[in-house]
Amino acid sequence: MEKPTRFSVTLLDWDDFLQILLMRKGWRWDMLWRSTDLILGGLNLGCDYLCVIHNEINYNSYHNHSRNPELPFKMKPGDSKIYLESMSTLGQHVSIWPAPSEYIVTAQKLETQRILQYSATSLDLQHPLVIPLEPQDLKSIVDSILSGEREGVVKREYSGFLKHVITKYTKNSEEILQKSLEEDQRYQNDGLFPRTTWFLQPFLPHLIRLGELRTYIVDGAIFYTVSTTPVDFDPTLTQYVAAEIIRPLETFRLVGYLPESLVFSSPSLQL
Amino acid sequence: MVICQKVSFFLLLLCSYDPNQPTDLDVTGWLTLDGDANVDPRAFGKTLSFHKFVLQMLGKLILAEERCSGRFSALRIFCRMDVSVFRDCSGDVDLDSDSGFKYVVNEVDRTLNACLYYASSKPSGAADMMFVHLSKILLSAVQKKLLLNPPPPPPIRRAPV
Repeated sequence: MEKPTRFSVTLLDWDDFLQILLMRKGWRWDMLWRSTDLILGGLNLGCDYLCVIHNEINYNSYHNHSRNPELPFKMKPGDSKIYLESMSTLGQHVSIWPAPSEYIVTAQKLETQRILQYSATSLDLQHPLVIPLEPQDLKSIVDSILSGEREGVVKREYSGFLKHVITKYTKNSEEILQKSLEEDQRYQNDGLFPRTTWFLQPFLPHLIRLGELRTYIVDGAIFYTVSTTPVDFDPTLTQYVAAEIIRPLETFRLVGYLPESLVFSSPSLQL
Repeated sequence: MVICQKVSFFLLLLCSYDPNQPTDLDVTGWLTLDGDANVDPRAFGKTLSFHKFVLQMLGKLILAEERCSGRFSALRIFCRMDVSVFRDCSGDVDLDSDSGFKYVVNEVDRTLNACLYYASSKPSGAADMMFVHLSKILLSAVQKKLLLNPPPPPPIRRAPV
């Protein structure tokens, strides 16, 4: 019999999908794991992991839509455990992309940096050093960064959208740190998730001034690359342009040190 | 922990990836999915050293992940790699000959939440081609049961000597 070459696609909104996974019985659950070849999507653990799981924040507030009080994941306390168990069970019968475990791997930023270090070293290349921090050392390290004594960035695993990134430019860093440590301590008692780790990285001013290249790879082939640059030194606001020609960041030219006056030395790369 | 790190590092050094031919699907050894040989060549980049670096790092990351976890790495299907580019202090940069660059990977994302900056790919339509290829790769992965939980890692093929 000839193998199918196309998917027949069915859209399932989050409310229905979550309900099916929480119920774990009935004809819709049976249909899902008997008749489905591939599930695309799922709960995004790539943002503030603890708060999303424990339903304490409005996820939309990350995107400046704090007026919307509705939680997009609409999960009650305890639902997250059932959801993850159901996804694990479902994943034994149905292909899921990305697998829930991949979201967790993405959230483990420290482990990702370690693997990047090993990979770079094995290619005889350099990679910035990453140092895990103990909770009792955090405050003194952050203080030294804020005072200018140390050039560095402190980040937390299981977080995203720059919520737990502290540089010398960060406002309310003490408040961020204190709240995070309290949350972490509280959720450890659940025993569901590992302790989140903070770590120290070198401060790379070019990431704020000049941005970086983001390249998209499918099946080991590069399809396109985009050059992104923060607007007004705010990493959450980004301007971008197709990077048809890869060039070192030093060949970009800053005029008057104002980010809005960033120009490119090649006419084909004008924003 | 230190022993594990040293073992992992040693395993990485033993990998079979051929850095001399990073884009040859038949040689690299870590691409086991059925790639589409008819992808428009315009979709591929123009700067050799950058692409060589990115694909070498990708190969190493996949090997490291699969050897640590014993599972199929989703990096084989899709990822977005964020890279910084520097001038090599040891020599002059020649943009035409594509030499003298150094690169560092800042972050890797492999989920549906990776921002695509779709508009910037419109002149060449590269993102559209990527979606077509991605759907084929996902179909292939489903048929080979590579995405089931827990899937076995694919066999590593040795590059011919």
